[in-house]
Amino acid sequence: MCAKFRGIPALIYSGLWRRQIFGRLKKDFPGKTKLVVYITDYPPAVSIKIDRGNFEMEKLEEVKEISELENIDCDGYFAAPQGYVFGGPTALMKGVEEGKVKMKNESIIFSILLRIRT
Amino acid sequence: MTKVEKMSALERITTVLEGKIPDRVPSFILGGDCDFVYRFMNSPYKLTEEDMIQLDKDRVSFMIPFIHSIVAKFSPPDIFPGGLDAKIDMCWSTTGGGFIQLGFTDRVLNNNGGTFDAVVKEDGIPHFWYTGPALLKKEYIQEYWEKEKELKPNPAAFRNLSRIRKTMLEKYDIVVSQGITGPFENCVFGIGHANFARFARKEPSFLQQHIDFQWETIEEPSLKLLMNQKPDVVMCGDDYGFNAGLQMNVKNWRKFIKPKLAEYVKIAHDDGAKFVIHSCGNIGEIFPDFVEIGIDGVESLKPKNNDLKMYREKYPEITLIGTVDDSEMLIYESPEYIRNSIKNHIQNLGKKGGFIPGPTNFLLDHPPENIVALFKAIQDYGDIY
Repeated sequence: MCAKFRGIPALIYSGLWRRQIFGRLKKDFPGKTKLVVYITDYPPAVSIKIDRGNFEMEKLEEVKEISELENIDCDGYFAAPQGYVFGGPTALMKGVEEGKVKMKNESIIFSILLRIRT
Repeated sequence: MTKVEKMSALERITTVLEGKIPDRVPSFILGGDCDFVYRFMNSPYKLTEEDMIQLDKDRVSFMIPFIHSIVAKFSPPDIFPGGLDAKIDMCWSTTGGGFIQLGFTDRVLNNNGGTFDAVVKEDGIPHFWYTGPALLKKEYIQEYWEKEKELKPNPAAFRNLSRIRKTMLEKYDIVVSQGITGPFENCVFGIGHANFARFARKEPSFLQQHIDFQWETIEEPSLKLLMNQKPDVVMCGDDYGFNAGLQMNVKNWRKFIKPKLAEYVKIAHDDGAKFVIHSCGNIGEIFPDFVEIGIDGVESLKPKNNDLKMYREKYPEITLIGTVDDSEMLIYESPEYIRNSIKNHIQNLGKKGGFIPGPTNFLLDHPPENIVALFKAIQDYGDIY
C-alpha cells in the first residue's frame, strides 16, 4: 500500500486531522507554528506546519542526523527513538539524560503533542 | 416531530437485556473510523459550529473510532437542538493497555504482544489498526512473561471511561457500553492463530500458562478497574468467528477460552452490570455456551453468516445486538431500501423483545444518508410493543 506517512508521524497527522475535521484546529492552535519531528529509528523526519485551521506535513528525507535539526528554520523540534515516545514521560526523561531524546522549545512541542493525543 | 420517550435509554437497554419488553426497540452503534468521519463531516448532516459549542461545553469525546460526538448528533432536537432525530440508544468505548518493548524486535508492541500501525493514505485519511502477532516463538512468549510489571493496566484510563459514560448518559440519554479486549483476541493478537492451534495440540499446558498469565496480569485487573467505575453495560470484543464458522476447533474454544469468558461475565454480573460480547462471524456453534455462562447479549451477528431467526427462537435468553448488514446493504442500497428492510427486520426479530438493531461493525465507507436512514427507521418502526 502506498502511504504518505506511517508510525508516529502518522499518529501525529491523525491527531491534527481529527482536530481539523471537527473544526477545532484553529481554536486549539490560533497562531502559525512550524515544528520538526524526527523519530530516529523510523526515518524520515517530518515538518509540521499549522496555520489558521489548516496543517501540512512533509517528509524531510535529507535529515540523517539529529544535529542537522539545528539548521532547519522552525519554532521547535523533537527527536527520539519510537520506544521512548511510547514509553511516556519517564522514558522521555531517561532519553534526555542518555542524549537519545533532543528537543528545542519543549513548551511548544508538548503543547501540541498533548493536545493531539486527547 | 420528536416522540415523547416513555423510558430512558438506560431503562430501555437494561429492560431488553433482562429479557423483558421495553417501550420500543432500542438501537446500537459500535462507532466509525476516519473514513466515515470524513464522509459524515462533508455531508449535510455534519456537526455545525453551534453543535461544536454544545459538545465542547458538555465535554463530549471526539475520539475515533467511538465517535461519541457524531453519535450525539443523532439525538432528537429536545435533547440536542441540532440533532438529526434518529436516536441511538447505546454506543461503545473500550480501553486497551499500554505499550511494551521486547529485546527480540525494534517494534513497539501492544500489551498483548501484537503489532499495530498508523498509516496515512494518499487521500490524506488516516487509519490505525492491528497488523499481526509478534510473539511468534516460544522464547518470545517467555520474554513477554518477564514484562509482568509493565503490562499492568493504567487506572487513569478507566477513570476517563467513566467520565465519558456519565456525560453521554446525563446529557444525551445515550448508554455507553464499556469493556476491554476478550481472552481469545488478547491471546491470538500476540501469539497468532497458527501458534494457538499448534500449542493447543502439542503443548496445551504452555498455551494454558500464557492464557492464565494474560488473565492474571492484564484482564482480571482491568476488569476490576472497569467495575470500580460502575458501568451499566460491559461489552468486550473477542472475535471468534469468520464467515463460515469458528476460527478454531470448538473443543479448543471450550477448553481455553470459555472458562476465562465465564470469569468476565461473573465479574460484570457480581457488580450488577449486564454483559455483552462482540464477536464477528458465524458463532452459532457456541450460542449454547453463551447461555450457559450467562451472557446477556451478543453483538455483531452479520445476517448472512448467522441464522438470526433460529437464535431468537432457540436462545431467547440472549439479546441479539447489531444484525444489520454493514458490509453490503448499508453501503450499496438506497435510504428507502434500508427503511423497508429495517421495518421487516424489526417485525421478524423484535416482537418478543431481545433485540437491539444497529450496524454489525464499525462504520467505514458508508454513505451518511444510509446511516441516518437506518437509525431513523429504528426510531420510526421500533414502536411495536
